Amino acid sequence: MSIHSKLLWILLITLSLTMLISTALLIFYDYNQSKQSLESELDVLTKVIADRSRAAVSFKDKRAASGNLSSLKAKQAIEQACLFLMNDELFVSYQNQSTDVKDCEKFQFEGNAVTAYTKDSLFFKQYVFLNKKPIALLQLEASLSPIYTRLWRFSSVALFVLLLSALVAYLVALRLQQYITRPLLSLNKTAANVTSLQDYSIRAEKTSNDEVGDLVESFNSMLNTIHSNEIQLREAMTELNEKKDVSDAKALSAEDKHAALKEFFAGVSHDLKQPINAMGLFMEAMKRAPNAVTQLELMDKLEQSLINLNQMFTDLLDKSKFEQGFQKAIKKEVSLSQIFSVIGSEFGVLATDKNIRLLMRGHANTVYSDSLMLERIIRNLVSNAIRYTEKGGVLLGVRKRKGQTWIEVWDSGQGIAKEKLQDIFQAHVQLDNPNHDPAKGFGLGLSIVNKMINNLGHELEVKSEPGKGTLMRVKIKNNLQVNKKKILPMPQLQTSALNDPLSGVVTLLVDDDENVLDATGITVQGWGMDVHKAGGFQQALDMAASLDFKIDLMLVDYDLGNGDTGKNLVKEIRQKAEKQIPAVIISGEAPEFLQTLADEGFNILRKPIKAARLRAMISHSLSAADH
Amino acid sequence: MIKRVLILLITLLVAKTGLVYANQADNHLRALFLYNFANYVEWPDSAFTRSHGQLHMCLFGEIEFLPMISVYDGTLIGERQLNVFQTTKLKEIEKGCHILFVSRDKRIELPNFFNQIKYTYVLSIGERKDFSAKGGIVSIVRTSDRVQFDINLTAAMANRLTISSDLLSLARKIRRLK
Repeated sequence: MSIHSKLLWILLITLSLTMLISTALLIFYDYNQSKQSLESELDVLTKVIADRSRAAVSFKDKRAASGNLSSLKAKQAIEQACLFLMNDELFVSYQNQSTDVKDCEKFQFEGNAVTAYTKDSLFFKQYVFLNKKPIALLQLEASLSPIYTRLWRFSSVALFVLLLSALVAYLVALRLQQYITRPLLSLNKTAANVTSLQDYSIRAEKTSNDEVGDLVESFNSMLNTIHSNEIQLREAMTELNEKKDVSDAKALSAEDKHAALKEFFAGVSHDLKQPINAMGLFMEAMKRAPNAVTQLELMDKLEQSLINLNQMFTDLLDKSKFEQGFQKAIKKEVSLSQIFSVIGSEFGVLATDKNIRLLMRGHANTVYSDSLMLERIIRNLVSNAIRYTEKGGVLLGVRKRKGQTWIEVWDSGQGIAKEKLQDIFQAHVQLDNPNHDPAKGFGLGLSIVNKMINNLGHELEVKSEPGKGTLMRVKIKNNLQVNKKKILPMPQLQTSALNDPLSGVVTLLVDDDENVLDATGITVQGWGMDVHKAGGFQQALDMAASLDFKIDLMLVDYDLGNGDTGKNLVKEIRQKAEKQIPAVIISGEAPEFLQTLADEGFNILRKPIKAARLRAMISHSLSAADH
Repeated sequence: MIKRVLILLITLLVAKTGLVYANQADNHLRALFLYNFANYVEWPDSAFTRSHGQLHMCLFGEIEFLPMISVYDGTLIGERQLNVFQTTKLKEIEKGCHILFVSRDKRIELPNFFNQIKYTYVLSIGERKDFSAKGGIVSIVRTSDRVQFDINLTAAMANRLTISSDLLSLARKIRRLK
């Protein structure tokens, strides 16, 4: 039921109830009044008639007495009047003509009562006195039906008035209740609008200063709160969405990383092929070796290749370096001669096997780059050059131009058509390998090279003439002080892989740790070097003296115990021999300290010693001394 | 003849008896009337020698209803005692009566009667139709069906008597001075 109907019902019920009660009371009052009025009227009438009848009774004048009673005609309610003598003889009587005729009978009043009620009638009695003695009794009987008629009529009118008032009240209330319901309905409508439109900026209109007005104010202030909360919620949602976008983007970039990772591993497998190929060649040579000595030499080469392979695995799979490999370059000073040395050793044998030459030219110096990445770049370029060159050779060169260091890989291979130059840097594109010959790799190398060069901030320049050859040039900005002291010559490659260049090199090996001394000795002896071991500073000096300082190379541990250092030993022997005997200082000291040694011109090898690096460093030191 | 005589005798007897009964009822009424006149007439105080003096009712002449009226002798009218007195001698009533009833046998004396009564305050009651017309106050008359009375109001007022309106309302005729 609507509030509108409820209000109407409340008004109608209240009004009707009030009117009903008041009307009932009024009817009851009127009924009693009518009875009392009739009673008092009859009382007077009875007394008057009785008084007037005295003389008639006295004179026994029935005619006069009857005439007296007949004056009661004026009172319609009186049905019967009887005048009895004291001997109960009926003297005269009066009968209302409009009622049924009945005999006069004495009514038995209770006690001294002079009035009595029956269901339909009211009885009155009055004695007629003469000289204070009753001489007759007048008895009146009045009908109560006029009172009942009046009661009924009054009730009907009251009911009619009640209904009429209710109707009028209904019409008036119908009109007036709008003052209460209209603001409420308006509020209700506003609330419905807010809900359906989800618009919290809608406000209810305040039209009164009563409780409904207060309600509207409370409602509006509640809406304010909801509105501001909604705005905050929206802002939070927007922020969340933005964060979601960011995280989606991150997820996408994670997918990219995953792709890069896959690419990286493909590149790694590509890189690892070279040493394995080299090892295969060494093993083939061993099968054909004429004698045991040659076999042993080949075994050493094989071992070295294995060490190189191990080194690559270690470097590539090392987690931090692995991440650096495809994520972020850590740039520092990189010695090109070291990289060239390793590459020369590795690819020399492959070139020899293909009956082409691998030459190194130029002046190796230091560049500012990531050593691992740069090595991989050069390795890839050289590898590709050898792969696509069938006659002539490959030249790995370095030179300084326009404030840059250029690392160049020349080949006399088949060359690349101009229109295909851009394609070679895309993954899985291999020119002239429609059958995807696995020996030629999977076409990932150059795309990785390109990425790494971009990552390092270097430039790659490609020049090619089909049928003549290709030049790949890596340009590195010179923001380092170039070591001008000595431009080291490139290590000369042996065209024959079967003769170890280190055999017969007189080497003074110094280390205060006996185990290291023995292990390193065995390693270098394996390369055919003439090793002379010393366990300390003085012992080394004595040994050098006994050799008459005719020493080709010194391999010295930095920390020789008792405060003696390898650096001092090298200096003293060089002084006594009066020449710059090549030396490699092996140390486990901190990198910063080693850098200061390198700055002083010493060749430094950091512990733990890896055979490949040791060999490369030895080769580098010797070749530098030759120049 | 004898039979006729017998029937006549019986008829006369029956008529006589009926007459006697009728007279008796009338006498009762006359006695009642007399008594009631005392009740509905007021005398001035000066009509009594004492404040609670007796009310004298004088019956003059032969009174047929004397036994009936005698029952009221000594009763109280208001605060006064009724004294009923009967005589045939005019002299005996000269000393004074409040009510004076004159019987039929004395009516011959009436023309001089009131001249002989020298006192006032007397309610004179007679049985002749012209009693009230000839100076009396109340005449008890027998009409065809009932006993009634006439009142000479002028005479009553001359005797300084106050007659109740109730009594007047019962009167057959009321004479008053024009």
